[in-house]
Amino acid sequence: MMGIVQIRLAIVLVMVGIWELIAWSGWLYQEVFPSGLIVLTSVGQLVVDGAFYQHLMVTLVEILVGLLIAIVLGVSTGLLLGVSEQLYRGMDPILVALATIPKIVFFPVIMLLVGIGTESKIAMGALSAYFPIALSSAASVRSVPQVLIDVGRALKLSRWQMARTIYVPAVLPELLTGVRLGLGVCVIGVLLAEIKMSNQGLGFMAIEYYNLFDIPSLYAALLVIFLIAIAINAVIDHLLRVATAHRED
Amino acid sequence: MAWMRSSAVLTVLVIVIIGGLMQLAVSAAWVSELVIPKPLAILAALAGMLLERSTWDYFFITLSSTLAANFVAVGGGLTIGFCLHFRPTWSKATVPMFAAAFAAPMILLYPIFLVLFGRTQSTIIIMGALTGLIPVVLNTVVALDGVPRYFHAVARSYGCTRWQHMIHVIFPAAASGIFVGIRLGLIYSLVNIIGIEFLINFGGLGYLVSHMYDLFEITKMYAAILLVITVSALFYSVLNWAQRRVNQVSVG
Repeated sequence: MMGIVQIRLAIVLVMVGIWELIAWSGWLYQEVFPSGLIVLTSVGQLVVDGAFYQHLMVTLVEILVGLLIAIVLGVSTGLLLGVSEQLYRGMDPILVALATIPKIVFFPVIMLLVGIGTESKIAMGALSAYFPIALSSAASVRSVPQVLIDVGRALKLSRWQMARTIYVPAVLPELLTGVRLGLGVCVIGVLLAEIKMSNQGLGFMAIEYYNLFDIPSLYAALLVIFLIAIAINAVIDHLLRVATAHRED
Repeated sequence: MAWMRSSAVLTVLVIVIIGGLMQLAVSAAWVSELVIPKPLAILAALAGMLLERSTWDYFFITLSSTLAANFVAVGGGLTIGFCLHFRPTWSKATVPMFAAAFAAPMILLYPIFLVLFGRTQSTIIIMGALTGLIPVVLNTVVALDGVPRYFHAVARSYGCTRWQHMIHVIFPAAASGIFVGIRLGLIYSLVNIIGIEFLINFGGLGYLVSHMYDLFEITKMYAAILLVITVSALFYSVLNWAQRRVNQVSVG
């Protein structure tokens, strides 16, 4: 009987084995299916190249600024929808409908509005992250238990005290979940926009390798991008867990 | 006012107000018509496009890609999910791997599929199937594992065969949860398919948006985006309706 670790190891080994078999057998073009060793060598070359870090910085700044814009706009929308029942019922179906479509199709509109520079990638990231943040903000404001609000009123708390001691602690967990979801799609939005139309950033770097048919470098770049995207999500997940650990349900 | 309490009326009202403001902004030349066309012009362009056969061809390309991807995603996802349910060790080993893949930005890997399968419909279908399969697997396992133990005890006490147990107990109890996965999988497939069509300038509705931008047919580009929004919203509504129907018949 295989244990959990052995099964996971077996799956990884079988997948790597199949890849290597195809790579070394010559069944497919070796340029398209390079050996894992060649890809790993390309990863090594990539991470010691100074240009990689320039592209990385551009992408990280675009993600960060895009996310901040999305937080400001999303939370503002969420607060508005949270306090007005009619506005919520009118806007929520529109937001939900827009949230479920591929945001990248709005990229041409963004390019028309702000040009094809860094601003368009920031805007793409902001647009992608806006919807989960706005929807979770609205839901969190609407889900503050009435009993907490009544207690605050009974204690004659000022508006500021109500916000600090009742509303913010009550909405924070759900709001942070929205921010985490927003970050995930912000990363995707920025990278896809860079792939589609850019001259800098990790997405551009990857698609440039594709255009030059440098496939091992393309695989290496995508592997690194994929790992960075997963690492950003993991770091934010950890930070959110730490930030909300003190909270008792 | 009673009519103001209807969500549909409020939604239409919000759309009309936003559209009216856009029409006013462009008519008053606050915004260039080359950047944002008049909403009425967009609607007219959309109506014109819907009369063109090529628009429907693009729609059917996206539809066929989505159906093919969904067939693989749902068929494969249910099969894997059922197999994992009956192999708990394998389930414990692989479900976290599927969950990690679900959280990972799979669409970023599309250049790899472009290299392997070329700029073809196969690339689009495979990417759509891959992204749709994972939520089906995860939700199927969770739904099957979540069937209450006493359901199984009752089935055994009635002397159900394995087949009867599956058809009359497990499946109705888990149907609602399984369909959550199918619904998510279908939505993810469609989103990814349209997104990749746009990115690789190939295929159906996603390509239509990209193509109109390349031709600088801005009004038609907005109309194509409106078409994508409408198709996605309809798809989403149908799936939500189906979910409600499944919830009604599910006993879980």
